[in-house]
Amino acid sequence: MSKHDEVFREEALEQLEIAEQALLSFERSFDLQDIEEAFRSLHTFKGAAHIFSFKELGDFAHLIEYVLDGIRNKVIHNEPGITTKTLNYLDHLRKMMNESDQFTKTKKHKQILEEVNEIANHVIKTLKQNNQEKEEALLEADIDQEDQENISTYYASLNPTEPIDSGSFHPIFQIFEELADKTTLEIVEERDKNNEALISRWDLYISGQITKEDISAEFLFIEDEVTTSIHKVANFDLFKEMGFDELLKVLKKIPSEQKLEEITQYVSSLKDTLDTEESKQNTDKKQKKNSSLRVSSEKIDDLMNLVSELVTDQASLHLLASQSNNSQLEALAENIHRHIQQLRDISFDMTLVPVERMTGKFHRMVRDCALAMDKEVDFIVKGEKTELDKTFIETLSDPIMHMLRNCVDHGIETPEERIEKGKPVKGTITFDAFYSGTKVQIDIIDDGKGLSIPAIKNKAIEKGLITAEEALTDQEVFQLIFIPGFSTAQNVTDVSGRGVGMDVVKKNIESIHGSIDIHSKEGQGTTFTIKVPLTLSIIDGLLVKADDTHFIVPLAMVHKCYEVPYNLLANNVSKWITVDNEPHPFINIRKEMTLNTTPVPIKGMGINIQGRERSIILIVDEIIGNYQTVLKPISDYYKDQDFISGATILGDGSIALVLDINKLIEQEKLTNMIDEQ
Amino acid sequence: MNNEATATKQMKAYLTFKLNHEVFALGVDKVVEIMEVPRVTKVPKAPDYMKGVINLRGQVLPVIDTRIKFGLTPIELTKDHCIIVINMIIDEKTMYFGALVDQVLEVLEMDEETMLPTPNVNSKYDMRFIQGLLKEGDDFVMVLDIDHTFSIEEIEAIKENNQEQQRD
Amino acid sequence: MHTILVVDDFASIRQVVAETLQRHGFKTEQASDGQDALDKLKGGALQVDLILSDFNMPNMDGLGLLRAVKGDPKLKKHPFILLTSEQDTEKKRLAKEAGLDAWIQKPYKIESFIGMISYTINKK
Repeated sequence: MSKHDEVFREEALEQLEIAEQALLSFERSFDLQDIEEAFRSLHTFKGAAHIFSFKELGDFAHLIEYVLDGIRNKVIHNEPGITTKTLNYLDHLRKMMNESDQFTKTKKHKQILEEVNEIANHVIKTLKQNNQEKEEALLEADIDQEDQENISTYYASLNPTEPIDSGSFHPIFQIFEELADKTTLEIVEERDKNNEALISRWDLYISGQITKEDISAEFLFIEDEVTTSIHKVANFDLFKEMGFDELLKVLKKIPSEQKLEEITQYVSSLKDTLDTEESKQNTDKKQKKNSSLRVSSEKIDDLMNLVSELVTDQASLHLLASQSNNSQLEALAENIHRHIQQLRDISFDMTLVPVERMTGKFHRMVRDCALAMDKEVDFIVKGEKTELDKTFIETLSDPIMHMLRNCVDHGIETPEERIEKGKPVKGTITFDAFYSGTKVQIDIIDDGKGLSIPAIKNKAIEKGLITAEEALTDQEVFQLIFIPGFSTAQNVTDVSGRGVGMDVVKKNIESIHGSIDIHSKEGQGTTFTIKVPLTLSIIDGLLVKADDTHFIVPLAMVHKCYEVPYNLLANNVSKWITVDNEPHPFINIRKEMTLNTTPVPIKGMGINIQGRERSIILIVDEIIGNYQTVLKPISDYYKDQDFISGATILGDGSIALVLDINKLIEQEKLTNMIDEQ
Repeated sequence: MNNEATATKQMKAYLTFKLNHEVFALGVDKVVEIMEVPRVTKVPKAPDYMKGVINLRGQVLPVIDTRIKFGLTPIELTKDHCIIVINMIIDEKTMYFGALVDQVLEVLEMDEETMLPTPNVNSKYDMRFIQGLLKEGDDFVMVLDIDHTFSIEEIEAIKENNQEQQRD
Repeated sequence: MHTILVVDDFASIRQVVAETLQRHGFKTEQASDGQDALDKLKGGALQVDLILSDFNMPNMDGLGLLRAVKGDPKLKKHPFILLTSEQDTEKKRLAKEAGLDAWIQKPYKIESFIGMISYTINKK
């Protein structure tokens, strides 16, 4: 083989070298990424060999690919010495290139070929079996993104020069059949305007372990009759993505020339979400290796717990140092404080991502869903920068997707109905995410027809969930929706009638210690309120004191502080005070919380706080300063005191209560209303 | 005591404590630890029997005034008072809380089968929370039904009662 | 009635294919490899309407036969179909370049197999 083309030789040897290094690295780390890499370079090798017509080299490489496939899919990864064996095979490939043509006729070659063949066959057989089992499992379980490796999705448009009779034996139909055997295939026909029997265009959506060239080769023998244009739109299986069914419906409705653009947009909306996981792009792998690594979430949890403890310890250290009159110790404590703060920020960053990572695909889905059902919907996203634990985003994404789908399907009325009811033609669905103390709250609000209490009740009675005599509050009626098997839709439509029910939505949310509530008014709309804890709960807070109690106000909400004499409030019935020449509503914590152990000081402090709906001035005795707050849940025994969202341990071991300002404002508003009555 | 007999008997350990001069008991399996009363931070606007929260080695623990369950006057804290840290599983969630009692006495090993049913007599205590009676010498010890006594529903029920009384 | 030349080195496969075609109203001739087929076709000794050949064969493979047929001015009018389990895209492309009319993937469904053959014959 010494005479073989130098170009091929050089490139091929390089690929073998990469594969070899990857395998050696795998031997040390057992990181399957290395097997991926070996697989890729061997694949390149195989391709090149075939192009240069070195069939034996290509075929042998192909067999080694199966061996790697077996390791990567954990079929033979435990087999003793499998890595060494594979390395031997690579050596053998190299020998085949270097030795004369006669080498492949030797007994040794035949022996090794037989060995590889045997392993390859075993792998193929096992994988085939596994795939069947996996498919069955998929029907029940969620789709594991990891299983989508090497699967790509393509969009192809086929334009016959002459329309083709749908009843004919045109080869195109056999090609479709063949494609359908090896891929997930969706075919949309366009009939000829003048003759229903003739097809004038096909749009194909293809997903599978197939290359663009493979698809194009399928249509090779009809290329004179049918113009094909094939586009790779995603390097994963789009058929398994939420909202793809809706997209297909939309694609049927829009003009041909816009379809590709439409799909591309959909995919990029998905990628926003997928990027939170390890990117599936097969871009420069080596570069990525340097920039990111996979860490188990347990390790991150451990790290975060330790950081939380450190922050608490640091507060104690800070207190001791300041009492010690030892300036060196104080300086050291100050340094430690700074470093812990940095450590906290970095670790925090590792676990949190903004919710906008998932809202991209929501936009898409709502839009597609509305289009598919001839409804007009504005989808508004608020608070997309609100950060949430990464795994929470992953857990919430599907349930919220389902709820939004429900909103469009059952919530928002058709334009005609809306006009009749005197509502704006366009319905509005709002996704609003915001911090609420130790929790993140996500509201999903629609201005649609709302939930019908009698309808839910009837359904529940029908299903035997309640009896007709049972007197239920509205809230209790709404909660019936979350009972397994319950669905309010009179007719299950193909949009929201499919997939999970609200019971699953609730279960998913509860799995991350979250909660979901419903508020609805018939005719006016429905609000779903999801609350999930921030896993990692360290916030920058402002430590204040009123009477003998310490409180924490989230620093992010603090706008400005003023000195406010308490006597200014004493005779104030209006609950408004003027600061910076502007009147502001205020809440006097001492009064609001009936704190009266110590006498009221002369000077108080007013903190201008920007709540979600409005700003207020919070009146306290004293502002102590910034405080890194490790949020600890306050027990369910205090669930009625929801203006306290948690507690934190101070440096001296005592406890400060963390205020939920929005709740406080809400309550204040309520009592004001009662006062006015 | 006969050792062989005790080996076959189902023995259970109870922690006894005093509430308003009366002796109560609860199964030690629910008890995490016993501690002196540290600084308690009161949570505003909470009912009186919710004493507040304490720092238990970095965790925030709610403290309940146990006397409330029995319609007694709230505890005025002295150095004898103790907190029994109890862990309880409610709705698949493990809940920790501290029960404030007048005085912790001892741990008793008793045969579970010797527990007597709650006498159906008029009592100054709310008998619904008594699992039964244990005879220790000449005295009777009332065994608390922990799950029932400190469930959130029960705590809420008290609150509603109180509110109703306030309204009346 | 159209006559089809079935080229395959496995006699049993050749027989099965030929019988299938006969059942659907075709006449068949057989050849055992590319060289055999070419010898039979050259000089006009054998008149057929379509050549249906396997890909991998000794002596002359399907691609070689295709190239020989399409390179011969007298024979090149014959519609040529490769019937193969070969999946290689590159080979497909080479065959197309050589003037192949249709590629039928083994295993095939009889209905579409017959459909393809009729379609290819009638197209010419």
